[in-house]
Amino acid sequence: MKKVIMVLSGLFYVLQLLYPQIINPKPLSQRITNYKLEVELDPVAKTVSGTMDAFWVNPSSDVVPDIQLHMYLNAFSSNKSTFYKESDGSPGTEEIDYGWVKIKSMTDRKGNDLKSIMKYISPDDNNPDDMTVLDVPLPEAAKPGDTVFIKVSFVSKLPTLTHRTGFKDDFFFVGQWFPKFGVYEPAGMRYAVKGGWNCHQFHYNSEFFSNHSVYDVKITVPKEYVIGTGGILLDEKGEGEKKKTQTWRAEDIVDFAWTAWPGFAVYMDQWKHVKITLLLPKDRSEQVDRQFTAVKYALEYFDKNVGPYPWPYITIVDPPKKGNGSGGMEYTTIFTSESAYWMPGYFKFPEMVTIHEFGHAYFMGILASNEFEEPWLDEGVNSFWEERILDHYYGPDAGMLDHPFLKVSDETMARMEYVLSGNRQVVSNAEYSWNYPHRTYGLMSYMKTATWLYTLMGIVGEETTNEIFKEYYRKWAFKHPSGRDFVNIVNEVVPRINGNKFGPDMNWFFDQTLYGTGICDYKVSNFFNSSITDFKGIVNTGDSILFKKSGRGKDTLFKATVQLERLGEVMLPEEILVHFDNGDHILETWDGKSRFKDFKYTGKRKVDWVKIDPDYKIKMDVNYINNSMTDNPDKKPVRRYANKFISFMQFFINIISL
Amino acid sequence: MSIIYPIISGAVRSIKSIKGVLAIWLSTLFLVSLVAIPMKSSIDAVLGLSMITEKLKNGINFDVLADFGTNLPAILSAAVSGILLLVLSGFLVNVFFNGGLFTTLRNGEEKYSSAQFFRSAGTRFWPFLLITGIMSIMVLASLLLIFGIALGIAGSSDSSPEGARFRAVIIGGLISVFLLPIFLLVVDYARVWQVTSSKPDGFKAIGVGFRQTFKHFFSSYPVMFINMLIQALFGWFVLKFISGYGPQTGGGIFLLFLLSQFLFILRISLRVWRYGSVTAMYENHPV
Repeated sequence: MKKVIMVLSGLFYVLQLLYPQIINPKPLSQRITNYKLEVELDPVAKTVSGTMDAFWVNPSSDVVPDIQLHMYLNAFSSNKSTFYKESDGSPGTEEIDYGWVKIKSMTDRKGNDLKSIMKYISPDDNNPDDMTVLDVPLPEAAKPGDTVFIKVSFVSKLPTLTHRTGFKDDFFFVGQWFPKFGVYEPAGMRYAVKGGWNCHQFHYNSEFFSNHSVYDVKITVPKEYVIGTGGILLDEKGEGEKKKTQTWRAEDIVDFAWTAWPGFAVYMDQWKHVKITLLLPKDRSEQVDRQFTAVKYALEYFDKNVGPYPWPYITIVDPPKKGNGSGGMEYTTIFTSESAYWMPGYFKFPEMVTIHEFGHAYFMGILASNEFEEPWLDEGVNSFWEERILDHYYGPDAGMLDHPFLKVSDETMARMEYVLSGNRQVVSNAEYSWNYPHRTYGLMSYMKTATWLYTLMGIVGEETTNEIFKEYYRKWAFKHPSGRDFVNIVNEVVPRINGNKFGPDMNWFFDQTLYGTGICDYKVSNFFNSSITDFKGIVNTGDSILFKKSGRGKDTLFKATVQLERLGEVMLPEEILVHFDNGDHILETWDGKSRFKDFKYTGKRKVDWVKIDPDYKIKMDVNYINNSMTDNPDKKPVRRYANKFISFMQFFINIISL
Repeated sequence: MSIIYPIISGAVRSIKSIKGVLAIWLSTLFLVSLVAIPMKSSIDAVLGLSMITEKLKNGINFDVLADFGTNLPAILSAAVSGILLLVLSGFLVNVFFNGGLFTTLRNGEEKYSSAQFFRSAGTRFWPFLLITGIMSIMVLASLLLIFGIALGIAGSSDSSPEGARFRAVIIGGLISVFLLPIFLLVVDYARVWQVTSSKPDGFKAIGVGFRQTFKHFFSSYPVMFINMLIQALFGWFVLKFISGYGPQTGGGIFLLFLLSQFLFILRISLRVWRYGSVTAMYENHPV
């Protein structure tokens, strides 16, 4: 094994000499795969064609007989592809609507023809009509540390803009467009018990798991086109009068996407070392500032609480309305947002999309988890951060909507979707993206995850949470962490900061939230105060019988009882605030494990209200209404709304009656 | 005829019709309460003895709505059907009272009795319902047509400029603002004619309304436009006030109720002022 490691280290060093650093002083990743692409966009035929020189290094101690490649544009080649079977849709009605990628030739370093021996496989569902994974047997199996070079000539026909990629008229968003290596997982990496390719088909709900790579991409387009990519522009030259070729480079990213449209206006801004490029339609200039502000907020927050943004650039694409199908997608150093000409400032939807998609530079880009197998680790964790950033910078109650008449927090929206869903217990978070039943993928991987991460933060505290993610970044940046690795980080950081306060590890939390399907619901069932009276009754002194009364006075003692219940299956530690009529209060703790819990107090004071989780930290609790009880409920807010409702209805009826 | 006279005369007539104004106010309050109070009670019942209302102090809170859980669809469903019934019955009640109002707004009718008012309202109900119903449909159809055409043209092509739809809505809105006074003049002239006519004939009344509107367009239109402008400004103020005022104490909430009801009475008076002005214009140029 040591020998393998030494060989690999030497090889990576040589490869780094082959691919010198241009963007960062040092490579950020192992760069197991690398790509050189020379392609041309044909805006009439809607194709991107050209050549690709790429290599893959066998990172394992296995002898690997084949390579596997993503051919994701083939997901749009028929309604029988796995993508469309999962979505119950079809690429369209006309031939132009369909997308595909065709290998014209494929050879290895020695010029051996690989095209004749390659074959499409469907490792996820055995779908014979799916052609999104290509298996290519190697003439010579790759030994540990071997580098497999391939030269491919290909044509990619883009689909009518649908999910994530395609064209609409003269607008192009070119994603998932070239043959791309899967990830070879040696035994011990993530959940692999033995070495093998992890190369999933293209699914409706997930698309990313790749090695960090260097991309050198030459793109030829008609001269009037404005291009944006996930790289930096190294060179531009004219190709006759009508075309131009741009050379782009990106390092240590998991995928390379680009866009081209003649209607883009280009704006630039800077945050510390990061040059921000924004491409958006020319007459949408009023959206520029909010886009820059949002991405700078995200950069600042992630930099402070997770880790540094390692690239010196980021490109934001705000597509035109005809290109809305490409909105809200992430490709690490380029992402698409979604705004509109009329989008009012109080509606923070563009900010939400921008911050969310930028966040994927961390959760998917830098921390390159497997979105197919653990979508929560990508989308859910990222949603949690998106909500934190929006609510931090735009107001704790106004991260989504900040109108004088109505404010809505981003975090609340996620919790609301989880709490109101009838499907919240159908399945746990720990499912492959295409296995979520009853269309619960979004609910589980985004909303539930964000909600239980907020709950975790409520339990361990904000600082500990930030430290968890800092450690996660330190340990796993530019690697492929699994959910288990994340849990291990939590198990390491929480006891380090909090000692044994939450036990030796936090598995009890993840078993219930991440791997469990139960709900959390705690309730104040009742509280009552009964006076403790002196002896009252017949006193037989022998000579006479006396009736002794007991009175209530200012010295009367009360026995106060607070009764709590756990209605759900999830058991979480709770704080209980008990308030007394003399102004005193006591903050109790309860491990939340038993089905019920009573607190009893004796004294001259009476309990007048009780709250479980007084700071609303346990966001997973599906019913906050039953978390508290008082003998004097405040009806004023409801009265106020009733008054306003009456007034609005009176005016409305009056107006429509002409 | 100067535009000042109908404006002043309308205001005077409005003040003299205070009983009618109060009748409309009370009946609308009663109607709305029929929906609002049960809704409030059901929300109170769901909240029970909870302290969650502390989250409602600063406005609507979606966390609390989420916590309504299975109660939320039931409350929303009841609210929607309640509101629909309320709007329909409110419309009918207003049509009824307008019959009385237009009668009492005429010159020489200042000293009317309540019995006269209600008798007149009852007599004119059906023609007034026809006039108001048809004109409401016309207003609605015109708005749909204006915005539909504007948006249709702007959005007919994917290559149309980004702001085209937005500009279409603005242009549609401006056209509507200038068109609405015409419809209001027609409906008001129609109702004035109807109360002067011994025979109920809603269709003829609408015809008269159109004829009067365009025959005296340059004197009538500014009066209506000024009234609409004042009502719009008043509406904007009310919206800001009622939405923005969030009292936290019981006394403050009661004050909010009193003030909003006072503003609503003012709003009815402004509408009656409009009726009075059109009546005054009609009396100067009767058919």
